[in-house]
Amino acid sequence: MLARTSVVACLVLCGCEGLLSGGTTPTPQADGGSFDAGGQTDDAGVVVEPGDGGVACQVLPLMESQCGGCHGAATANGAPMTLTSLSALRAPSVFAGQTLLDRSLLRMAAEAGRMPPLPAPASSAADLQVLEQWRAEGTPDCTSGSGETHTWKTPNQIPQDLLFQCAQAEPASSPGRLRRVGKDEWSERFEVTSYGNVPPWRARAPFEHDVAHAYSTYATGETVDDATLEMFMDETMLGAAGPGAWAWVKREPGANFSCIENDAVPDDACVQHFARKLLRRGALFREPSAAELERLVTFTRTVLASGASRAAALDEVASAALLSTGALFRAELGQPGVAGRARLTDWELAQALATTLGHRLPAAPRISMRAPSGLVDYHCCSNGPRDGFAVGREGFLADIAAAADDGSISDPAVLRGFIRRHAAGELTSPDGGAVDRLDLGLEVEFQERPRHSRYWTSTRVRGFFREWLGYEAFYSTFKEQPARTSKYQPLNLVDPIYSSIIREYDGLRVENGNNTEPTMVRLLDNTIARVVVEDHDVLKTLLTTRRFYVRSRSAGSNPTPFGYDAEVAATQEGRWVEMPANERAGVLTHPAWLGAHGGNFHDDPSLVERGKWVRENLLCQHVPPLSEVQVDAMVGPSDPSLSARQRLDLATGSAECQACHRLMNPLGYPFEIYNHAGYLRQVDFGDAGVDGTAMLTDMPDPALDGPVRDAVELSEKLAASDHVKRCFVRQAFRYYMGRDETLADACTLARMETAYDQQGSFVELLESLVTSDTWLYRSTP
Amino acid sequence: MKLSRRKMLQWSGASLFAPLMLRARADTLAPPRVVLVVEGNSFYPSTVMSEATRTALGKPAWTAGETFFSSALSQSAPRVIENSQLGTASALTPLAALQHKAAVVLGLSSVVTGGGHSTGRGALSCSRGGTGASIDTVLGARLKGESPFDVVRVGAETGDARLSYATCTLGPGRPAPIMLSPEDVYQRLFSLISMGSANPAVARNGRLLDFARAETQAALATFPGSSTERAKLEGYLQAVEAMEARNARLTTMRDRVLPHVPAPPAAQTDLFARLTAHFDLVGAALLGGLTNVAVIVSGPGGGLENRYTSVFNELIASGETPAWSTEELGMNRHTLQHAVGVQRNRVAINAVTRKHVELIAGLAARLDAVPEGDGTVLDHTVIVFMSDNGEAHHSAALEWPVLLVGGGALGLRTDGRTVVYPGHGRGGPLGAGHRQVSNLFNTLGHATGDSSLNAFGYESNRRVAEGPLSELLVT
Repeated sequence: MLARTSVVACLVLCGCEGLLSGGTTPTPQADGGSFDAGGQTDDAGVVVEPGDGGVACQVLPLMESQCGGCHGAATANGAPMTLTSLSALRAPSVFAGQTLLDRSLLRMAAEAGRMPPLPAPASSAADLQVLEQWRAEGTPDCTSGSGETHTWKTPNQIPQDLLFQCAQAEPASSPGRLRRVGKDEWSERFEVTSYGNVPPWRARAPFEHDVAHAYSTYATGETVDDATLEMFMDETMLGAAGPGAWAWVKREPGANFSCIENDAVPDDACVQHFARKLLRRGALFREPSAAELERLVTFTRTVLASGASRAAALDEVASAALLSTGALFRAELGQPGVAGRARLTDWELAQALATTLGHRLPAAPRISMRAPSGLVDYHCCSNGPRDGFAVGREGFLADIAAAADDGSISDPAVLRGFIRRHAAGELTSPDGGAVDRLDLGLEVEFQERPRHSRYWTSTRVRGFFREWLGYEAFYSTFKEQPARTSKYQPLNLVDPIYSSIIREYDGLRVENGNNTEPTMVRLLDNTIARVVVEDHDVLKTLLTTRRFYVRSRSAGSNPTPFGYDAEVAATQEGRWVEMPANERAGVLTHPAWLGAHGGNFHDDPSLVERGKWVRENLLCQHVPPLSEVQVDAMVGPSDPSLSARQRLDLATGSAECQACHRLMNPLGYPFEIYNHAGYLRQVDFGDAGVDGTAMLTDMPDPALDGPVRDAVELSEKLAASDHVKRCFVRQAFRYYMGRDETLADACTLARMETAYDQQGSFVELLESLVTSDTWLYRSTP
Repeated sequence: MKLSRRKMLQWSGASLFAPLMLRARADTLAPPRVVLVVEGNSFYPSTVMSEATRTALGKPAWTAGETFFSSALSQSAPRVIENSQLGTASALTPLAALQHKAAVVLGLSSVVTGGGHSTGRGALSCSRGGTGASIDTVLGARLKGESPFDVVRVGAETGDARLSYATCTLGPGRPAPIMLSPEDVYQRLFSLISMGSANPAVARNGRLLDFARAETQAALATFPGSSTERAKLEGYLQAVEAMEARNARLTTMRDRVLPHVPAPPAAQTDLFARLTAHFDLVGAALLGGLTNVAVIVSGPGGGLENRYTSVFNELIASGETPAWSTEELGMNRHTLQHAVGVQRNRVAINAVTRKHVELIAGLAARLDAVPEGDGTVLDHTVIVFMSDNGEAHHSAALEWPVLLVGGGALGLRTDGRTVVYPGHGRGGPLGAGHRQVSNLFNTLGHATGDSSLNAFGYESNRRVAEGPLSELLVT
């Protein structure tokens, strides 16, 4: 088992600083990888495991190191008070209702008037967390010596077994938070009434996520900064979004807004009705609070009195509603007025549930769809005609909105039911006639559906697998001679079919173009969707299935990375192909994953990136990034006498390099049976031929130790590992909770594992999470 | 011995509370300006070494694998090569006409940033990952004066993102947005000027901002969450208030700015077309008095996916390289850098850096054409060209080449010199003459009127020396 001390040794030998006190002088190393995030680690992910004395015993040393220069026993530099004791921190400040601890926290987190002041470094998130935790615990005394404190910069440094040992005495919860809208979520808040005519402002939302976040669902530090506000306020953005929201609000079944639109002086009830509906259905997608409603009512009166035309005035009020904090930030704070641990309100629950499933909030606006065979309108289902829209005027996920209204959403059975209903499903008869699921598969144009399988997952289920497996990067990764060393292009540079290979390969990478067949990324989406819909032994199946969804083709047409040359019928069932047992097994052998995690040339050290991915995302172990080892990392130049594996071995064979590369290389060697683009190799540079063998040692699961023949066998071994399964559970937790796991989440993780172990069901995994206390409760100071 | 915060405060307490000491200038009405141009994922020191510098240092032309050089030099003190004919450096040829108003600095380290593919928000804040405010934020707060924007941050990369948060910081854990679309930048800088205050949209936006401000203040008054979450609402409020203040200021500046308003930029996909538009917009903003500090980033966060097809085509057309295949023309920066051992690719990456210098030279010439005080606008403006990563594609953050253009009236010795500092000691004690990027930023502070900026950054016990680079400042 790879002990923590071994990882530490790796850091020392690689010259790592930052994680060790004292540090070492950096020394050049060979290639440590070509995919480092660029030194953007910070303390935000530190987990403090309090010892016997709790965080109370950490407070004074922290204050002494950061504040003692001025607020020590002898104050200096004009400091008005000493902060050398816990009682001093508990004392009231000159600000009513605030202790010196409260003021310290405010000043340490502030930008203007920050403490400690420049040029001293600012307090880290870990420091602030210690103080906040001490305050949340009621500022207890330090009753014994400080306990052992583990400082982990990333959750992958936490021993996995600890994360599944449920022994906590206190009920679970998560920190209360605000989640700023993301650009995908923003674009789903507006109705699309004309097929193919999606307003550009809908697709050009400025709400970018910080790419440093592990998953796009993380919300740390995201706010509406001035550049974002500037773009949002633009006439073509907010100026168009406001009227768009108002138009959707007016289409609510049974809606009547004639008084606000026509009355010379709308009365109070009329204005209240208008404002409430606008907020509920067009901006907040939940019931507004009394205060929120009153603020918009006041603004409405102001605008109505401004002299603008009635239509322009109402559009302006709609734009204002979109600027409200409730529209831009979704709250997960719990029942108001309850300090400490509070359950999410019904509407907070509804919105959190909806965004677990996709980008739409409850009762989100509908989108227009075109029926097949050129029909503009189509009729569906026993629920009646849909008039060319995916859902009726009640909007998407209207059932969740109704459950929030009547309070039934607080019933765990109801929560489970929503997950089960909306997470995934089959679409029957999509190529003509009745369509029975209109909430899935909306990311492709309607007439494209027959070329996709009938298995679909919701947006955020698909999003999890795309982000965890990282295969969306396939779109943007350049490949030079993608088929080189495969049976289609052994080692020749001039090849009669080379241009057709390139044309086919580029066609697999173009999204939203004029493709008539799914792209490579969408082919993997389809493959994964079927596994999730069938929902049995999901992880194991993902890692071992040979049943891939491919494009239709005629025999002898352009080759693709799958290496499948036979005819594939242009039907949904015909596109399911069973890959040869010795060639492919699961998502890690799929060309989308291989290409996304491969280099640009066939003899690039793709194996390092692939091995690192497996170490970090299937074994949940930490590999120090380049920024921590500060290496001059480069493999030698390309050489026909050297395969990628041989080039890498030459560059990383020294003991110093192996301290880190032993974590990556052995897990990457098996993938050398494929080239950089995911084609199966037939030949290779060098004299060893195609070589995917590896010897795995010191694995976190001893069952994984031993020889491996190739990526097929590696996938099968990983699929059978409980350690890998637990890592999968952790990755799902991170994505759907939108934060890293901590030791405080152990009971929830154990619960998720138990649920998953019943039948290997991903849906049950999700259900157990959304009915857990970690998900349902928030802690506030 | 590790330096504690307490010690640092004791050492810096006196300068912290001392009044600012403005450097005397011939014309105190000309505001000092700073433009930071950042090329993501390094440019090589060799590309900015003039022939005279190579001769003085005994260094041959750039060869494959050459990254570290300063640390290998047997010198213990900074070395100044006067009149170093900067225009003879392979990437500085576009600057030949203004080489007498430029300087190159070699040998600065910034190991606190970590290196790797990109130090991200560490480079401009001299910290690991941006744990403090970047230099543009610090300078912008002080140099803003009456201008509506404290800092204008723009950037370009291949792709459709409109914002990046990868390079600048407003403070600890607060990334600063960089606008990536020239059309968005134009809207931000010039739309209000172009519309005029009589436009009904201006009044409408004013009412909307009023509402947003009041609404957010009310939400903050009852917010029950933690300070970390509260900061998200506070950030929004700050944005609203800043926009209100900015709009008010812009309406009073219309007559002054209108002559400088450029034509709205067309949508572009080529990286350098976008960068060219950004340089044009930043130049207009500086001359119009909209800001005194700007950042232009090429490839925020490293730009490893950036593609340089237009540069490759230029190289083929000029005969500098043989033809490239269609697929190679589409290769990204990461591929290019990994194959830099090949001569053709080395020529290409040098050409990419040279394109940046070409844009810098164009901006400098534009500023130099406008008289100001006893000199020109360029004399009161310093353009700093650096990378976010130091000396190589996989950097150890040991050598950070820097080009400075302009700022002569600010007391900077941008007189055609090359300054070479002793290298960061590898495996041994740091040379006493070695200097760091933080010293460069201290120098910018001194040049723009803050002689108390002597310890920028968060290097703690890694800091070699406080203060500015005396070889770059007139004493």
